Amino acid sequence: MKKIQLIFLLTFLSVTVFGQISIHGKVVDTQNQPLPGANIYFENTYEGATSDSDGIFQLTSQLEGAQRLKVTFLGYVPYTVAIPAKADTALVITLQPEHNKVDEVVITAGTFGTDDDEQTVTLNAIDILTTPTSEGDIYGALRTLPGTQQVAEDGRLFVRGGEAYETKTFIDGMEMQQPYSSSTPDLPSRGRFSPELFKGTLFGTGGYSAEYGQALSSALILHTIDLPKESFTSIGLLNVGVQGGYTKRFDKASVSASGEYYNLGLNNRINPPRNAFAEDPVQMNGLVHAQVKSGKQGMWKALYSFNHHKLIAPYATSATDRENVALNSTNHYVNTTYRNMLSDTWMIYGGVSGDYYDDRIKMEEGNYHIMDRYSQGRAGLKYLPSEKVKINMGVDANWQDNERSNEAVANREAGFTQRTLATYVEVEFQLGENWAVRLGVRPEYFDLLQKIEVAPRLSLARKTGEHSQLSLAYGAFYQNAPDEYLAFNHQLNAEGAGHFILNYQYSRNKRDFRIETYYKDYQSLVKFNMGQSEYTPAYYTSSGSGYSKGVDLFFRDRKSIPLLDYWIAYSYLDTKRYYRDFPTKVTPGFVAKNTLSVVGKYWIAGWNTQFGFSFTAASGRPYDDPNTPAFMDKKAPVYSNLSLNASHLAYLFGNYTIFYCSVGNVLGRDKPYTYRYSETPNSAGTNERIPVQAETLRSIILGVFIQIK
Amino acid sequence: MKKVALIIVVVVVSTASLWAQNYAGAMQNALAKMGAAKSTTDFVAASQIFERITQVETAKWEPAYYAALSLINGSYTGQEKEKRDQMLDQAQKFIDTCLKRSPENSEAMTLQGYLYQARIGVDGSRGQEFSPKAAGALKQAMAWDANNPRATSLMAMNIFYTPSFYGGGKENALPLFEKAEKLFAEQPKSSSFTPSWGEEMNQHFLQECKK
Repeated sequence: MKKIQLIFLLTFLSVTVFGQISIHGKVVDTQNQPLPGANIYFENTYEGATSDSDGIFQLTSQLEGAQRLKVTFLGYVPYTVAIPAKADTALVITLQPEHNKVDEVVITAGTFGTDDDEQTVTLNAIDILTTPTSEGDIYGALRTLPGTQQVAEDGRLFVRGGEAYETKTFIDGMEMQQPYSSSTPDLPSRGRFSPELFKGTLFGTGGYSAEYGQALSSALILHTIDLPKESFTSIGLLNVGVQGGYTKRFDKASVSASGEYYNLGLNNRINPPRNAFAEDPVQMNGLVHAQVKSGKQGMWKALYSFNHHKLIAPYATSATDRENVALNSTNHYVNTTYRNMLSDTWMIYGGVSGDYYDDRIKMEEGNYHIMDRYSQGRAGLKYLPSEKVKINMGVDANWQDNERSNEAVANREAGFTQRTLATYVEVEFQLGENWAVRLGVRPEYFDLLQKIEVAPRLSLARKTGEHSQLSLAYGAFYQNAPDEYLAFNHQLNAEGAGHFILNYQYSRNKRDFRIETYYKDYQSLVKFNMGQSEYTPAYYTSSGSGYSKGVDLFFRDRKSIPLLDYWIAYSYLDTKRYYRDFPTKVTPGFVAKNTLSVVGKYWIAGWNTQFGFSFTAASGRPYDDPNTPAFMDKKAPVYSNLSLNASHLAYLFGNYTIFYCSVGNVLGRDKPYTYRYSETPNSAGTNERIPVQAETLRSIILGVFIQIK
Repeated sequence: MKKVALIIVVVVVSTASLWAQNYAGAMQNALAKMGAAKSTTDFVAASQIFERITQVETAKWEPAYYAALSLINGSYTGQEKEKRDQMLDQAQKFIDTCLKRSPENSEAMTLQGYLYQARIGVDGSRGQEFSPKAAGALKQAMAWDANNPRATSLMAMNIFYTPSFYGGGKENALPLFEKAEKLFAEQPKSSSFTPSWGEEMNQHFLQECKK
């Protein structure tokens, strides 16, 4: 009996244990084409098969109970199906193509991403340094992208009809109040930081994320480099100065210190400016930065920069007269940030920064002194539950203390202390395969006004093909009235702008094309009440307004001709403003209707040399002739500039050495950028016309850069 | 007798599952397949077996390691660039899994460097981008284990293919190949599935350097 029982039991067991599952089927793609080589297996088991050249597979198993069959294939979304126990099943499995990162929909309206993780158009540090018009300046290189204006006498970024102050620079998320070196009128300023400090640039020409505020037009988001690969010493010798730096790499940390000293004295003897400087410009920069890696993803960064700039430059007050303007400017900037993953899905980030600057300007009409102290604190959380959903939220607080005085005018001290507190929440998610949505809101409290402005942001992107997509963005943006006006009237509203952007982008095989059209609506711009003294609060009101609309085109090709990389950018801009001292709504003087930039770089491997050219042309900007009743009706000449450079790479005594030469305005085109008029009429009762032009006809930069390991 | 029955039953059941879920057996089978692979299809099929083991043995890094290795080696047999890149994309996922399961694993990081080199294999014009990336990964692998012969050998290969103008070339690569040769000879012959490939390739390059 017991034996029988045992046999019975064994038989019974063998039935359940060896109860077969038998599946045969075919794996196909969405076009019903067979997929050979797909992996078909039972989940959590070793058992599986591979589809043959016709996509057909046969799988038998002794597995007990119901199973889950999984099908995976390179470039396709994995597929899972439940298989009942003891089944004998025939299946046709259709796999959906997986969209790899390049094909994914991303929010692109209004941004030029250059980060590693951004898939749009890229400009890295090397791209910036080798763009001839940049002369090593980040902002100079960005001026070859669409949406920017060529205001060569100023040097700062003017984006889509916005003034220069409407573009804010953020370093690792922290706002930098004074990203440009100070300068005197008609002398262009430059960025304070070397492009080499940054691994990526995100240039938001409009409609940017709710994470950032206080910029009406544009946000330039710079990410500093992570741990450098190794220790090195760098030395640079130029016709305009010297630079040197040392980077020490530790296991999980690094420290760098560098200094720059520029003196235009030598260069001004070789390539004399039109009007000699009474004191040649001298600039000293110092930079210390450190990074510490903690755990797998944690990174702590700290950066301190010092900048001192001194010069006495001639400033034309009439067609023939010049007066000396002396500038003595000091800036300190410190920034420290931290980011880390709290878990697989939560990330924490934050930082504090401080910015101090002190500008002293000596002119015949008086000595100006401007001092600004700014500090910011920020903390946020990112929640990334899946590849398709991203939530970002945080708080952002800043404090600014601004003082200014004119020693020649008694009791003409002015200033303000302003605090703002903002919070932001942004949700980004994908709807199906073809849609991406980003919704954000940024309420911001302005302490001087005791007022809250709520700025909504919305972006949509839709894939229109394998390589193309269409995006739409809307956003409201607020920014404190400019310091020089807020100092006199503390009740000025934050200036506001609404952005509407439509973008189409086609990217394939290292060729990128994009077209973007936008409309911007400005409110609460500072307007002067001309009947009052400019030292009284009543002179400043928030009643200005304006609009800006245009089309930006961009094409970059790194494919058609081997080793040639070129891009073409064209911008059409139509903008009018009724603000400041404007009696009517007109196009401001920094605006050119049409701007074209062509940049090309060609690497000749046999010579180890890269040649670069950039050509920029812009239609004439409007200016006002006070001798005529019409306002801003004159047009300056067309602007054009062709610049060339060459970088030769050599390997001397075991060290990388770059010989660099760049010539700006090679063709020697000698047309003024625009015209100003003397403030006081001459003896004949007319205001004299003064051309605003480059300080030298051609600019020449020569340099040798050595990296010692 | 009931006891015996129970034991037999248990034995029957467990051998069945052992047979199906025998880690060592499955690994050996897959390693043999990979060793014999000639075509892209063979390499992909081998990696698929490793993939199946990877999703069962969630605590082990080796299956994911070999799934990636098989795809990287397979990428050199393919013709279409896009397809080869897809294989490497897939291999990258396995390396990520591997490093997740075993952080600071020198072998996995070596494979990362090997993958970057394979990217150059797909398209030579990527050298400027991927050669430093490969060097970075291999340097990290060597930092985690100074005696890793594969990391040393692949680093030597990176130097070998770098133009002498940039500090590369045969002469600069030779000492590292020699060091790798020594490390290969010393590497412990463990019975488990720890990686042990690369010695032949190292020998080949040693010969090339000495030519």
